[in-house]
Amino acid sequence: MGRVTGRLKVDGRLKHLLVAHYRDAYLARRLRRPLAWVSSGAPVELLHAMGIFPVYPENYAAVCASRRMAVELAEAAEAAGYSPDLCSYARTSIGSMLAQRGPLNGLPLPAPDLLFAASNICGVVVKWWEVAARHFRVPLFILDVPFLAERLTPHQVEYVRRQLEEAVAFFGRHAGRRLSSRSLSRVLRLSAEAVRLWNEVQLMRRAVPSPISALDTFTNLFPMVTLRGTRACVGYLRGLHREVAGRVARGEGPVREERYRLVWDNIAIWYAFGFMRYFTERGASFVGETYTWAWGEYEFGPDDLRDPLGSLATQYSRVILNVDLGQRLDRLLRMVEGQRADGVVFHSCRSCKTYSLGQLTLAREVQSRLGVPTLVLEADMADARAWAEQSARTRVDAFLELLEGRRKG
Amino acid sequence: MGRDAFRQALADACPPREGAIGYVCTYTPEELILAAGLHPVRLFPPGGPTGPADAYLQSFCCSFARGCLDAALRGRWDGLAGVVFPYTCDSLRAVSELWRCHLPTRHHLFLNLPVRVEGIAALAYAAREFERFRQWLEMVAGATVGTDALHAAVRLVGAVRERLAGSSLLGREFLEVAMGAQVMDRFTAAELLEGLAPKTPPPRPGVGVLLAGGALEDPAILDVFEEAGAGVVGDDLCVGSRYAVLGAAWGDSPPGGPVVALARAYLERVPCPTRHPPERRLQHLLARIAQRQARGVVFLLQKFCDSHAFDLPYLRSELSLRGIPSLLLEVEQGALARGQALTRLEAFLEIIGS
Amino acid sequence: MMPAIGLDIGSMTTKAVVVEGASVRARVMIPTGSVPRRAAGQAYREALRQAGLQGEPPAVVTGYGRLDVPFAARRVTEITCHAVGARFLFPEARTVVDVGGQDSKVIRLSTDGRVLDFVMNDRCAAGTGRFLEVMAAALGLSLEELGPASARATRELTISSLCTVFAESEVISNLAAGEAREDIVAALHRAIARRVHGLASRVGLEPEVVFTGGVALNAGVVRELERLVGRRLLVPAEPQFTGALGAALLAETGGTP
Repeated sequence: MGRVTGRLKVDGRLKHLLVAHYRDAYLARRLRRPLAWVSSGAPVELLHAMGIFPVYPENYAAVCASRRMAVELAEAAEAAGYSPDLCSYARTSIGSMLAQRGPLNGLPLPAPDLLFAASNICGVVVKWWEVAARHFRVPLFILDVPFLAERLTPHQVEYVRRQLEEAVAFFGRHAGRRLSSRSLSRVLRLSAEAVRLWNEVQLMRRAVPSPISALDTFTNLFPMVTLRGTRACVGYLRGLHREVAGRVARGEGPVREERYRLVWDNIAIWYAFGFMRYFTERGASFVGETYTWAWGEYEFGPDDLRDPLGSLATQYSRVILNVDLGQRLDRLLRMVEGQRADGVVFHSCRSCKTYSLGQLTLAREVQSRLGVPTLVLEADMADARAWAEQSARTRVDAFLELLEGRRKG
Repeated sequence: MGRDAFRQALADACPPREGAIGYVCTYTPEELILAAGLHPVRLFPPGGPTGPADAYLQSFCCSFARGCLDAALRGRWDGLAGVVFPYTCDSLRAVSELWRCHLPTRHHLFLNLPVRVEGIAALAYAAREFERFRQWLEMVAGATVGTDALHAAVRLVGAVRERLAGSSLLGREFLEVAMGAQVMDRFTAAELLEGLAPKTPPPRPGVGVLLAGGALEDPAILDVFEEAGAGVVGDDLCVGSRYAVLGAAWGDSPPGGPVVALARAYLERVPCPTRHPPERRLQHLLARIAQRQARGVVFLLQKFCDSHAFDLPYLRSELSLRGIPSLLLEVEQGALARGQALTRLEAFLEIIGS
Repeated sequence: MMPAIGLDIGSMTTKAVVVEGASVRARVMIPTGSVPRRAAGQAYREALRQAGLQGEPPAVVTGYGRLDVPFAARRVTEITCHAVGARFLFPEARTVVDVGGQDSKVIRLSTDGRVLDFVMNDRCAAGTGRFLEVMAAALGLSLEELGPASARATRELTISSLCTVFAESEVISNLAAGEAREDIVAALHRAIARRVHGLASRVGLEPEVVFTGGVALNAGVVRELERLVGRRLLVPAEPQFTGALGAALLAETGGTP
């Protein structure tokens, strides 16, 4: 049996990183550093290499949700005519833009000098960024990344690559910065190092008991999302790596007695971390999440440095929300088997259609191919109005009873 | 008699003939399908409650996309030789994937169209995708798509579009004919469209409204307008006039060849909200309003349609700045909540009539 | 074998069942009211009294109020309890459809009776007993009158909205349009059956299918659901006690499902 451990010690540094990141964002204007709003699937390496400061409205919306402010901001957007059926991240962000408030010292996300979004995670970010462009009257660059159906075609890569060239020129024009191949190589190397460390941490969760669970990775994802390509990110991940490796060596984990090993699909439910702790209390550990895994999929090898833009085009076409159902399934099956999981929890997130539509088929396939049980939970990542915790706990109880029955049977 | 043929085509959904290719959105270049000797059939789900698709799609998928999968699972389009899903939105992309997984349609293609419709990179890419579509059609048809055939198809579809655009039909009658024309044999459609005269009298002046929005399942949705006494004087709907306004015409030897010219025409058409940049949409809507002398706009929004819903606050405030009132009605399962819609429409007419 | 007791604290009613060996010795149903633990205590005592038992046998407690019962020896979800109860009544059961007051669920069982998969309705009340309750009120009928009324339907109407609020306004406008109440009731039954069937197709409908929960008492819903499923459903004589029965059986064996 493993020893119980609480939160990771590196979490303390995490808070510092988050505060520093947003402080720098608010100071960017005064320091004459151009600030860009970036979607989570955009190749942020370009911005870092060009000295443009990136902030993530999606991450900001998640912060709003975890501080229980998303609902009132979403309501501000709804009051302005945005349908309550739209993505809750977008409503939160637009509401914060319109109402000029937010959870960090009461401030909204600082106004951008330019906007950059990639269509590889959904069509929603394109529309959301268009709203921001009209609101702030600043230039917008949409990186159009076609869907990866079955295989990546050469003309698809070429299309994204040509747009990346345009994007470099666009940033040069609107932010007055140039791209040097040296700085891009440096950023890509830092990005690759972060990805390597992150993936190793993820694979350590193969251990029994798993050294960390979903709460840890959902929290520790922040540097991977917002600081990928910087030294700060790599430094942080080294600390995380060391600590998790230590836990594995000592046989420690967050769960008193690890009875169930689970995989999570889709975004976290940011306002319901108490619910995630409920799994831990019941002896269930998450040994992988397709969502946190996704940031380990940008793998830049030494070869890629020769043609960095072409490589970015390929890598950013392969993100989990841009690939067909067969490839989604392959990745999921590999994770379930590789991490020795005995159940999959699908968060059916009403805000996120690219992630959620298709999950019911994935669940069937996981059941029929691996004989692994699945649970589909209806919720939303930021809008707590759609959430009924008690009934969700009942579903979890029933699911764990089902897994228990299999252990005995 | 002509109108009945369109209505019948719409009701039949899938013509009993070889080589029918189903498609879900007007960004599909049906000219290429015709040039391959195949028959393009736009897929309109029947509306109403869904059944089998609910096993694959959660409640937050719009009922149009859900209806497409549902009708397919119920066998509505079993006669299709193939189906093509152009990239439109996240929900239809998912439906395309589920169709591929769960239906035995022999040929399936995801036509990977760009979101961006401006710039040389987008055009080059779109042209390559059109070319890939052409090759797929040749495989399905077992025949080559020649330049002459493509020119003939462009002329034929051009005639259908032109006659629809110039039609004096209004309201439900227009929508029936426009939607029917996208299902029936295009030669027949082009022929019948000539000499179709309106049956209903033109609307009373002062209460003409323009409909705007995306896809609809059933022209019967317009009955409530008649009931409320609203004259529908025109539309900016993807199942109606947006199909008709695409002009794909070029001279004998367009630069880059006919497939490139076709791709250019599709990118240059009035964009739907799934395309970027969006600016031309407002200009087009304003032009339609002026051209049809509409007194107000009624937006028909498919519940859960992200693309359209995001644009609405902006479009409505721009209209309002120009003194054009607008009303929003949500569509679900091909219908409006009748009682509610009637009350709102009547109140809206009182506003624009005064 | 010692007698054992199971309690099912539902959103509307609380049920208690006492079993001994393979037979039911007592069953009690009372309204849950606003304090589930009070209803639980009352049902517990009443059931023991009916069974003529002394002492305080340990109770397995299920249902949405299960966490609120301090004297529970064990808490098990209604999924497992319905599976156990339905399986006891119909050993050939492979699918259990349960439609209760505020939720509906479909459970798929293995040949040896283990739970393989389950789904529950999302948060709204469509496809639950509550839906029918609201509609019955709008029609001025009691819940018990719905089943017999729909048998007299002559015309096929459609209630398309699954949202309770909108469906209610559809009912009212149908009444205003002069439609017969019987036809409207039948349409409501079709709507709820469609919803439940949609849920069921997510886990797959293996025969035999057992229909439990209070709504299974409504012959109209049973008929419409049978039509969609395309086969006869097995309905227990007292379907609303299936969960409590399962709980009692679990208490008796002391084992896990």
